Amino acid sequence: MDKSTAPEFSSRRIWFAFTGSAIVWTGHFVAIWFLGEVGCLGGLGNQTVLGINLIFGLSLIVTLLALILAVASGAIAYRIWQQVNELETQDEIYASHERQRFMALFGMLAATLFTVAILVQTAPLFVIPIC
Amino acid sequence: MSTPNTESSSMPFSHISSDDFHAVWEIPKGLWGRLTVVQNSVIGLRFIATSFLFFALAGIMALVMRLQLASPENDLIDPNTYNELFTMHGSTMMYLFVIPLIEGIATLVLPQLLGSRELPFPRLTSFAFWTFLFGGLIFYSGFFFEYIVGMDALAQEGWFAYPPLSGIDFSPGRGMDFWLLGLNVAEIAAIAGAFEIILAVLFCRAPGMTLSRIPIFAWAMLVTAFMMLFAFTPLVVGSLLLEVDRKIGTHFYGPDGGGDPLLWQHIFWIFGHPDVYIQFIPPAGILSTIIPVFSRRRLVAYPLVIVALVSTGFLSFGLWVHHMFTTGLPEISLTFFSAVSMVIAIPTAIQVFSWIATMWRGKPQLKPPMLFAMGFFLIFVLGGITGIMLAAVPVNQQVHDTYFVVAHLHYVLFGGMIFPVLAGVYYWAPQYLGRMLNSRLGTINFWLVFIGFNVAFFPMHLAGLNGMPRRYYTYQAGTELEVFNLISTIGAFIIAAGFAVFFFNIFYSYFSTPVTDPNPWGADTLEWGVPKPAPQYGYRKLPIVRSRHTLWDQDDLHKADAKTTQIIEVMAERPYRYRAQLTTGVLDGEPLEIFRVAGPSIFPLLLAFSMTAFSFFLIFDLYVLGGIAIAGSILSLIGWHYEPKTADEYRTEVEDQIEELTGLPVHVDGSPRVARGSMLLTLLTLSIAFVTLIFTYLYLRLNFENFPPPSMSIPDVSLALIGLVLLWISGWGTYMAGRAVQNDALSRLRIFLGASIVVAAIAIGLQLRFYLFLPFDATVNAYASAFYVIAVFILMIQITGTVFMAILLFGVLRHGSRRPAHKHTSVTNLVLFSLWIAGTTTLGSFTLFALPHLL
Repeated sequence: MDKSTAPEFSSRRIWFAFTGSAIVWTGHFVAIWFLGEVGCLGGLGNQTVLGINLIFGLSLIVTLLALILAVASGAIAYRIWQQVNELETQDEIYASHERQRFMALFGMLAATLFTVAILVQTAPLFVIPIC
Repeated sequence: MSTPNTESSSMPFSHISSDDFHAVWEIPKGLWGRLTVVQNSVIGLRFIATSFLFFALAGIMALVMRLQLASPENDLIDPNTYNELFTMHGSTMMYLFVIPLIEGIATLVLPQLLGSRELPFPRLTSFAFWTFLFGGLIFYSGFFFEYIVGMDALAQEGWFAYPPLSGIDFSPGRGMDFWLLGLNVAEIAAIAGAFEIILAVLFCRAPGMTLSRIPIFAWAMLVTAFMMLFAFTPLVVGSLLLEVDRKIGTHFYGPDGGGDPLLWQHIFWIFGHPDVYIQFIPPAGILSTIIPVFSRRRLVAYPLVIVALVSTGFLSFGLWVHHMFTTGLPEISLTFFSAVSMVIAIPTAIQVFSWIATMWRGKPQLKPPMLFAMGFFLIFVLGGITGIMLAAVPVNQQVHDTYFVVAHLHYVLFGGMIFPVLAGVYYWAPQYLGRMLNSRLGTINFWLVFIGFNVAFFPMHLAGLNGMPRRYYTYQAGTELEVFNLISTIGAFIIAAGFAVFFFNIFYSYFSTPVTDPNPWGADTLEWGVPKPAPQYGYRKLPIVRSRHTLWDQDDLHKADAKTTQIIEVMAERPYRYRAQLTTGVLDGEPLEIFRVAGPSIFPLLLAFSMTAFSFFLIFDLYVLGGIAIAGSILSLIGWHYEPKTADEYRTEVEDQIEELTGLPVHVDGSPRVARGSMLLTLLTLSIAFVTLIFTYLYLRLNFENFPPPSMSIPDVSLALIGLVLLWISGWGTYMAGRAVQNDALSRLRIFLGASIVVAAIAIGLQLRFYLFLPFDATVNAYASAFYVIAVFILMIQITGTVFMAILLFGVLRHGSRRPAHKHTSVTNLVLFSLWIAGTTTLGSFTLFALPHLL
């Protein structure tokens, strides 16, 4: 079978690029919801550390972490896309490079969308009283 | 765009006649044949026809409700009947129409669309259909028991059945039991169907159909099927908890024993909101298929549309609380959900703009499928805009539970689902009914439904804004609501007329001249390359995919390298004694295996029947008969998997010859890759169920300080912990059995498998001894209920795992030394299952024994 001669990327890398941002968004959403819900119901709404509300501070840390991971996923996708894009398109049946380019493009677009989602869902922390 | 060559004539096994090939795939004849058939082409049509039957029933109920509301203070029906009607209408549409219809279309279309011969587990498809049918019949038998037998057997609590209204105190009749158990059976059908769809799209595609060449409808169904697993499983668990609250007296949702009605709302809407997108994504896939065909232009921004589908699948699980904005949850939580409710508009808009751009750059032809697609745009976009309004907490709180919400949900669901599905029916009818539906009737059908819909539902926005609450059986005169309601009723009857034309069109066209052109619309996807009349196996010679738009870009569907050519030619001629199918790589679609697909069987029907009978007997507290039904289910399962012929008898030198010619393994007892995939999906589903139970435990714990109450203590847990250690030892034993399979060591395989069973049985015995003699029972309070439900879950998975081991050992012993150890590939799946059981039991034990001391 005329398997493509596309560059080999580690499967972890390409799968992180492909699905990483979506999974990161899921984790971030569950984490900030949990902090808001449990923190408020558990009476942590007024606790502060270094003058910063505890729930607010923890939510920001989680958000920062999530943003780093989501952007990293997009950046890796971009790198793969660049590498695969340099290849000439060939009429192949099992076109690995075409599929890799698709996965990388998907990863870039998804990372953009989920980064926006993470930012938007964090915005209320700056506007609404925590509890 | 020329019609490609679909069947070239190279025949390496020319002594095999065409009749033999047809005979293997033939639909069994007679009544017995109708009961045992498993083919996707038959089961898919049955799904669709049955769904439309339920749709018609729900539609009739809607008409009666609209007649009641046509004038103020009307007494056409009494309040109780009205409650029953809106409950049955909503539940039927949500559970018995939309989801089965979508699965039916997927069952029918996917194999040919993917260039495959059949779905990987046809018996599972058949089981899904029968389960759906019987679940629906249980649900509707409430009418019989209510109006003929005279008992209280119809639910009145709405399609989301909030406790405490749905609890035993406020709904003491059996209506809720019919609702819960009937629909639970139907939900199991949905999950079974989801398995089949995922496995088909991932493993059973044509050679060359890489991830980037998968047709968009298949992508949409893949996303939807995963969503079904994540959404329906919590609902099944939550419904069972509600049923045990009602039947046994546990306290999950009843505040009197420490339970919380809001827990149900969380579990229900974790299902309920993604369900809206489960209903929208497949129709979006249909539109992305149809619009390019009728615009004569490739879909604009295919990768972006795939991103939109997948991201909608994820984001839809972050919206559920927007149904609970008025329940007093912390404000900050509400805003997170509000934000995601707005963000999800982005992927939806991406798709809408892609469709508009495709039409803009193409030459749209306004044939019936395209008319329905255009109708979708207006209606769905209006529904989307009111959705954004409802995502805003203040607006939501104002219009909550008014007719504004009724209007919104119908604009989204009717516009987003029914219009595209009707487009799909008109589009695929030539392929699967063999007849082109009448175009003039189709146009009349469209305009009646489109006009009727807007006449019926647009005034509901205004009625809602004027303060009309939903689910009230009447309203007072002089409240400015009369005119809105009268117009809505007129609109409802116009819709009914539209659907009468639709059903008549199908009936009328069915007797028209059969379609002979394989591709009457000039479409680009593989199902249209199958010759007419379409044989049961689709392509005899499998197509080779080199482009996303196969029929538009490829003149020859079989042009390939020598190796692939050899594979598809051999597949076209051999093996002929059973239904042979190809599995291909998940990423690049390269051929990997040839395997035998299961043929006709009565056992899917028997299993569905006995499972439904079990639910039915539970409704009436007939536990002995329920036990007999369980025994029937177990026997049916054994029969399902027990083949009269052993794998060795199926396998002959022909299979060896095929392996030599193709270089692919031939598995006459099923594909190990598909089996592994299905095991992973099973574990995923069970994990979701387990997480739902842990969520239940934690939710109750977080809401109540005394959890467990100080008066309750857990005695010495050493027996349970010894059981846990033994489970890990048993898991290690199955791991060693798996190693024996890899090393082809038959005697070690038998020893480790046998020892694992014994150790697991001792572990179960010790834990049973512990749990059965606890000093409290499940009905004491919410803590005890949550404790027991986790304990029962982990015991049940252990028992299931041990039975699985015993069945495998039986298989190993049955074949004796005739079958080498490396052929027992199912054992590797057992390793996964056993380790998962040990891990889950560890987490469950931690929750039960350690968490009370930590939280």
